Amino acid sequence: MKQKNRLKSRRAFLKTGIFITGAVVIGTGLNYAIRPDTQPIARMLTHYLDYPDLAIQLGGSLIKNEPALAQLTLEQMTELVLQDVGLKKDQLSYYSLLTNMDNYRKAIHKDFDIENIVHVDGWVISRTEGHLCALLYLYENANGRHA
Amino acid sequence: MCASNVKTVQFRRIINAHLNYPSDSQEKYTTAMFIDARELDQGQHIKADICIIGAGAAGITIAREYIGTSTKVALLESGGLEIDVKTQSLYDGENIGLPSFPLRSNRLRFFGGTTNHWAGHCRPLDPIDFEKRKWLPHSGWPISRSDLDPFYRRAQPIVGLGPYEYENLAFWQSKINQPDLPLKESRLKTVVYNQSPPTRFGMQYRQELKDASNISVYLYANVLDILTNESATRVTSLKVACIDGPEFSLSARTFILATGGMENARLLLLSNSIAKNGLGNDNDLVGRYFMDHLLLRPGADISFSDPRLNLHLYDAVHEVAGGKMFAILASPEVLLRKEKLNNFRLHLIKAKPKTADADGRIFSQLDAVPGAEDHRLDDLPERKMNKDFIALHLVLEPTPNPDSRITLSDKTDLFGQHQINVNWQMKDNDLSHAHRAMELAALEFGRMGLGRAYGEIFKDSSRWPRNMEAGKHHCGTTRMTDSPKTGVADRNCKVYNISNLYLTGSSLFPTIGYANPTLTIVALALRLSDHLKGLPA
Repeated sequence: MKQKNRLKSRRAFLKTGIFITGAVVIGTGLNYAIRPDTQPIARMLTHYLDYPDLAIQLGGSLIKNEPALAQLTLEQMTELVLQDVGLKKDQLSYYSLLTNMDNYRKAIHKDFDIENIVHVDGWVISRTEGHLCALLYLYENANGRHA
Repeated sequence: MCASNVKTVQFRRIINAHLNYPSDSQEKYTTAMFIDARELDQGQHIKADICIIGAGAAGITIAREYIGTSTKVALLESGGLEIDVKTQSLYDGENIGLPSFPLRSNRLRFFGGTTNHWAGHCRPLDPIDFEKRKWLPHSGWPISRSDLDPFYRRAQPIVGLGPYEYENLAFWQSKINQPDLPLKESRLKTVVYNQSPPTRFGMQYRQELKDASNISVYLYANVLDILTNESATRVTSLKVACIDGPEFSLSARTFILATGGMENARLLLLSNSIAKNGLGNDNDLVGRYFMDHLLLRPGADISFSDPRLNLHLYDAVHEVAGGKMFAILASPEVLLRKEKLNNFRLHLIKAKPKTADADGRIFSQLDAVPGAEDHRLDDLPERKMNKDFIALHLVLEPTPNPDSRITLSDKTDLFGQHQINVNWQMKDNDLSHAHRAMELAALEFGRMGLGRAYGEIFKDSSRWPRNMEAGKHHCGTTRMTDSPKTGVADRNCKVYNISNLYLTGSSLFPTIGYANPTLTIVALALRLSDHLKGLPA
């Protein structure tokens, strides 16, 4: 039940975010730069993931398994996740956030195509997905939800 | 009428009652060729042109090939028309290697053999399965798939299957209108499998054999010894006995051993009165290379991103054109060669997960064809309700292993004959083949945006998952090769250095691919009968 409510609130947030973003886009043009704060960007990116408990678990395990990821801060992990689809934090626009979903789909599709995958806790996921899970893990930790 | 004839007639009445024949039909008595060997006289000698030992899929197939000819065929069956405990106990033995199923129950010792409980899955071996593969030690048949193709075609209706269209997926799809998965064909492909009703050979072909005046089926006839001349180069006769009856002998021009993947080896090893190591065993090969398919059921569970996915081509059996089919996944030859993989197949089974305890639809939002306008599934009732997974069942070809073998045990059966010890072993790289097979599936389901794979094998690639099991397809113990140094039988299934002893069945298989063995067993039996018919009388 807790997870369902959480999912519901996360989806509501995403829908609201998309609505507001859309309004801003219409109002100010597609290349309006957003303030490059890590937290909102991370929050937006991690909303691509359903069932956050499992995603957080996978993210934590991946960080534990891969020393290179373990050294990253939330900000660095956010940048890594953006890099996976060719974006930089200071180049973000609302438009790019809106279209990120499709960019991630493409990146994940390509990962599986070229075997850019990770094995984590019995799951086989794309590296891009792994990075998203790791970002969610760090984001939740940063907000004190999964210490 | 002598006493034994009276007994035989009485028994035929019983058998006829089993077969629903009118008990007062004198004609049936005169044509009925099912004989209860327990009613024979002690020391009686029987003569035939061809003697087939074992009335399973192979033995019955060969016997049928002689119906209506002038060849007198004796078909010996250890059991009766139904299972009985005493006869079945003759299969007792011990698994001393990898855990497997009890030897008494995973084979059946009565008329029809193990087809009395088989599942009916059929497909020919792939062409690559017959090849000598450099990366697969001890691989290579002495014949090719094209050598066997005409016999596969002939085997198809015998096993109760429809059109021989294994390489023509479009043929089936045009009739059932079910889509296949958009697989990357250099990685995985959709493959046609056929489903037998399944044909119970003992039931299906009993009448034909009964009506054949030149075929004599001896029930309850257990071969204890294959007797040869002094040089062990020619079989002269068989020593046969019944559990509660007489001992008798049988001589023939040609003998065919058709008792299955384990018993063929056992009987050769037991026949050691002249050849001290057993018949055909000059090079210590009889009983070695014992193989069984390696199964993971499941190897992984796929949690779907979209429960609307239509997998009916794979997870249902379709009745088409007088046959039944379903589809599986397998890798193309080019990938097997490139990655030096053993052959394998994957079944897609709609099931609740056995290994996954978490909902894996983490990536549902991200799983879609890139560029799709709307992939959000939040409002679909199925998404909330449907928690079904597809279980991917792996069937892996094992690496032939001379240390995986059947030997005679010190324990004995009701006749005082040595039972068998089965030391089933696999090679270390079989696990890596299984891991890679499951990974290929995970890659494809991810690439197609359909779901993610979870499996115990991905958690720890250094050990077999706990659910690894045998396929109950016993093969390889009297392999056919082109040299007596590497095999027991030649390309015509004749035991090396014995002029009139032939083998048939899965014990001949040097490698076993991923396909269930029965269709190949029947095809090889047809090929052997053609060969024998072509020999000078």
